[in-house]
Amino acid sequence: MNILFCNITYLNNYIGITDEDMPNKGGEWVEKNKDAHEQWNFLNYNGYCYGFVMNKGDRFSIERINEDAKRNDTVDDVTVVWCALNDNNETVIVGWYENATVYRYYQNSVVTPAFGLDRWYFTKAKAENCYLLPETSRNFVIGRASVEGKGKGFGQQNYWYAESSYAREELIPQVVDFLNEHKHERINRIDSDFCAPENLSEPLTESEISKANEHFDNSEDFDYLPYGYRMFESTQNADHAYNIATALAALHQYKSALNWFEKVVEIEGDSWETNSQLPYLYQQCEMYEESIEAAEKLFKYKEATEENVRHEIFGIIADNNYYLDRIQEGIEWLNKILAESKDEILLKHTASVKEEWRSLI
Amino acid sequence: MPLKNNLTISKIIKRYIKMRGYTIKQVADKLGRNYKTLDGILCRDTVDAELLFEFANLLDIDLCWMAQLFEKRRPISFLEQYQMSRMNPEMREGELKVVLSYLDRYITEIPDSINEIKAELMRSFNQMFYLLDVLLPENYIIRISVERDREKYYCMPLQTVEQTSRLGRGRNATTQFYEGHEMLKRIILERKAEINR
Repeated sequence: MNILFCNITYLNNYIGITDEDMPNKGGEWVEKNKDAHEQWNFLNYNGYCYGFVMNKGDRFSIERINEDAKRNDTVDDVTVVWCALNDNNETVIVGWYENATVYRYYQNSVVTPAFGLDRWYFTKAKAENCYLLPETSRNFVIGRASVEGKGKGFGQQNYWYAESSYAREELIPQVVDFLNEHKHERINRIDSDFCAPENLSEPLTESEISKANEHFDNSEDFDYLPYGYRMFESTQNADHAYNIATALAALHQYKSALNWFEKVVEIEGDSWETNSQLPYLYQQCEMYEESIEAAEKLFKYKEATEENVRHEIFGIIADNNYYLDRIQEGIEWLNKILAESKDEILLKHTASVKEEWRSLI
Repeated sequence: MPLKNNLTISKIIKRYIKMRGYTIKQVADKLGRNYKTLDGILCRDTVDAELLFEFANLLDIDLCWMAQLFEKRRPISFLEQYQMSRMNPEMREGELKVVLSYLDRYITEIPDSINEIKAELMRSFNQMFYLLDVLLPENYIIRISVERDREKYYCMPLQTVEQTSRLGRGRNATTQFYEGHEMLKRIILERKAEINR
């Protein structure tokens, strides 16, 4: 069995700052953890969870997970067991990923100027295969080698390959039983949580409309979404579709958001407002050809005659070409910016990017 | 019941009067206007354009900044994002004391919910931009987009904007434009931490 134990900060939800994960631990915790990448380990990010653990070095010895990975940079089908120190000073299992890919080196998430979360990760798994336990079930203790003895728990690093005979013969079978027993209790969001609710065709009451508006105004997108779907079901107009699209995008469900923006266009036709969202959204979904097409479509709008906007579009197309490994084409779009822009910061940055890209040809 | 501190043009003018070290009577004298009339106008919040310009000249009020608080916005897409003018630093110093007094009170009264604290602040001040403008240090820029009549604010330290621009692969933290609500939550969290230290 491919397995890896990781020791991270103790949180409730691991989806960023929430009321349940608002630390009461004081200034030091906030300073240390407010941008800690593991706080998003169970965030459903476009259908996947991306995991981070602090590594004192710069790589993971993935061949220790599976010796076949010796010459590779990834190993698949790993069970990543997430552990954290609770208030009783015990390191307990808080959740796990199944069928995860583990990378030798840290990876940077896909991010655009409009969408995405800029963070590092070293493992990823489909959200459906990720299980975060409620607090009440976080009671399986994983020891520390310094206390239990060599090979019987975490050492100096925040991850443990669990290669000892104790781990393989005693601990891991118990862990596997524990995971199987508690799968049904997961509290993290899977894809179906972002879909239309079961009571879709029930019209909203006055009080529900008021609640929906409050959630919407406060950018409480997950709470808004079920109401949003019902509103659209009741009145299939572009505004409702647009609100669902933006809520989904804010919740990092970019593919679903794209479908809803496309619905907006179906209902009300092309508009600058909707179409200007698409290039970055396609880019966020790594659909670079579609992103180029969507960006080029924007030139027909009067808004695109404004210099900043025009150069932004050039930049989007340049980036997409870069991502498609069409470096020379990307450079040609950078040259358009260099030829037209009077913005010194933009010119300096563009020139520097051009040099960087030229060195790759 | 939340305390209300809804902004009006008159309230802002009165704050500037105080900040510049004047009384309303002194301002009336300088403008060649009747004190009681002027005071009445400010109480009823019925400042007309001509008077507003006179106030702006005398008190050095940034009308562009002020207009941002009250104007009905046209649609502004994400690609066009408009950068907002920041409040005069002297004014911010005074406003910060007011806003922090509300924030600290809500932090004490509602220790377990950042969302609820944020909601109370919004109910008290009714203006996301104003709150961000007061609470964020001067080196932050605030941009706005308006989609389907919904205003969205994006905040980022200026140095990061200069470093990353909007182009090129490998830029760091390009989306660390924090959206307004997210930024407010972070500010509340940091204030809580400061209080708890």
